[in-house]
Amino acid sequence: MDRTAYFLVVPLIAVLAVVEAYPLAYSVYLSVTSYGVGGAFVGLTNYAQLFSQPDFWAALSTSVVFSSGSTVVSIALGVSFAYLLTLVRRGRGVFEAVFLMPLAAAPIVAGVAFAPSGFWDDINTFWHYVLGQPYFNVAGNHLYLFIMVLSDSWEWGPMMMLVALSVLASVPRPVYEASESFGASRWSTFRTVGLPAILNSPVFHFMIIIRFVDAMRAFEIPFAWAGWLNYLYPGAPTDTLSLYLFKLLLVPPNGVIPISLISAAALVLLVVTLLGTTLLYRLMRGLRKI
Amino acid sequence: MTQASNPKPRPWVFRRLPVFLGLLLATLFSFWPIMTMFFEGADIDLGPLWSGKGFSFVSGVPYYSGGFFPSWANFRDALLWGNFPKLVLNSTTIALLSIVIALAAGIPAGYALARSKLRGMGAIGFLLLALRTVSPFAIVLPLYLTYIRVGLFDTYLGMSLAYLVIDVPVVVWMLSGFFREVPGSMYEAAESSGASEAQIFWRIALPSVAVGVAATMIFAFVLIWNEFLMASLLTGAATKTVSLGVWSGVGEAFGGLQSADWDAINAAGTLAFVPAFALILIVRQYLAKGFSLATAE
Repeated sequence: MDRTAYFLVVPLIAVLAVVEAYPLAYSVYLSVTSYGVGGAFVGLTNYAQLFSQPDFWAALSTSVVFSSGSTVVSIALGVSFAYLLTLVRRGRGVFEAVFLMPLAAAPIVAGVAFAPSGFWDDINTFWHYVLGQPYFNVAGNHLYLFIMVLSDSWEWGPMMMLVALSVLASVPRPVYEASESFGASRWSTFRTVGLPAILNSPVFHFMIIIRFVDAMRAFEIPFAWAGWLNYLYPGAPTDTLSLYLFKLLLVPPNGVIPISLISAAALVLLVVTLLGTTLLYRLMRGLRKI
Repeated sequence: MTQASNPKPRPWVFRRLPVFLGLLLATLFSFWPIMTMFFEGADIDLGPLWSGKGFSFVSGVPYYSGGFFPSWANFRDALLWGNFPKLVLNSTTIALLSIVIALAAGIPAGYALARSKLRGMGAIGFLLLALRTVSPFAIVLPLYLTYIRVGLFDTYLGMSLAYLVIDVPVVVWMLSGFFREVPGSMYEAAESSGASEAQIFWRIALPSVAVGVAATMIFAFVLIWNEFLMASLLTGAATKTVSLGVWSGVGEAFGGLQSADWDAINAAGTLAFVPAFALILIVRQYLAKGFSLATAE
């Protein structure tokens, strides 16, 4: 099982070469040429043009805010749902199944389910007619950004919950019993034993990274919100970088699809995400060592 | 223990009240958006009912104008007149084809990652993580330009190849976890009785992870079923997938930023959600397990 291992990964490498390395190399090529207008080598002109656009910076910062927010909120949701489930005495399986529902929803479904005229209409009705408060405007005050983060976390919180539950289950039973025999409450047992176990586990760190990385590419929820709020032009406030690029493809500003520009932007997003991931990875390794 | 040390234990209901409230909130939060989607699809508008807005008196006669008019029309239209069955067929074909290719590459690789202690193996795990940071646009645009040239645009094969980006990492991660769970003593016993590497793989390792392979396939299927961005750029009329059908309300309007009829979108969203939820319920206990085993140090 030593030399054979190399042969066993050959199919994987072949697949990655075709579906990852080839398109990536092609993207790099596109980003340094003027696609559609001659195709000549233009060096870093596309990047310079990209960096000079305020819309790009706005979209990039929206992406960073969105994915940081979504990572934090989905961790909070996942861990608190896991804690809640440990308190349930009967029917735990039923509650777990209900809490898992959002995980099965497609991101576009999350965009639809949390639409202003869907879920938020119900919330607004309750808020206004039952609690007597004035309507809140989901389109204003950056509230839509918060709702987008919330719907993304709604979808991926359950995954965090599953992982947190599996970590909790792996804590040896006697540890809990010892804690309880000292008269600790369920909450303080969780705080001193369960929570650190979750936050220090490699699998949870892995999930945090995956969550951040996936949210950096987030497209469907912002896309749906662009539809709800009628922000159909590139550079609208709901634009994450992915959505901005999509709009450049679909409704190009000058009628010409800026393929080279989009490739350059996609590669910049890749670099930013990689940097963020490396930072997260370092941070969590550091935490684990303490 | 805690309660026993209290001089006067509070009634059961009060002690459990925070838990009940927490469960109620968490259930509503998880469940209500889906429920709303179903209600909107079925033309059930509850708002006017409980806000009291649906009732009024028209010259002294009670009059109901609320939105509670349940109907299956949107679901029926999507299933019978819309092309929902065709979309399901497309999504299923694309996903299965892609998963078969992913398994062919991922099973050997997962096995190697789990069993070999060679230096490069850890790098492959990290490479897969790093590749996940690639923006879909860096993949989709080159694929689109290539597909147009070689005739793979709007074909099942083209879509399946594109989706390898999504399912290959998941397959390798989860399967390397499940392979790791096979006790080392089983391999040693087989080796000492003279079994070849191939025999060990086919007779011992693979059968032990059969359930894990099934769970991985189902999870990858759900991921592909739910994918939207790549499908919106790489499919035409022939290979539209289910999640695209959600946005277009299973009608013809499609791909653009403008959405279709609101009720039709909600009905289609509900229809797309139900099978995915059923599949997630089946594999729920394996999801966290696969990733935990894969990342164990």
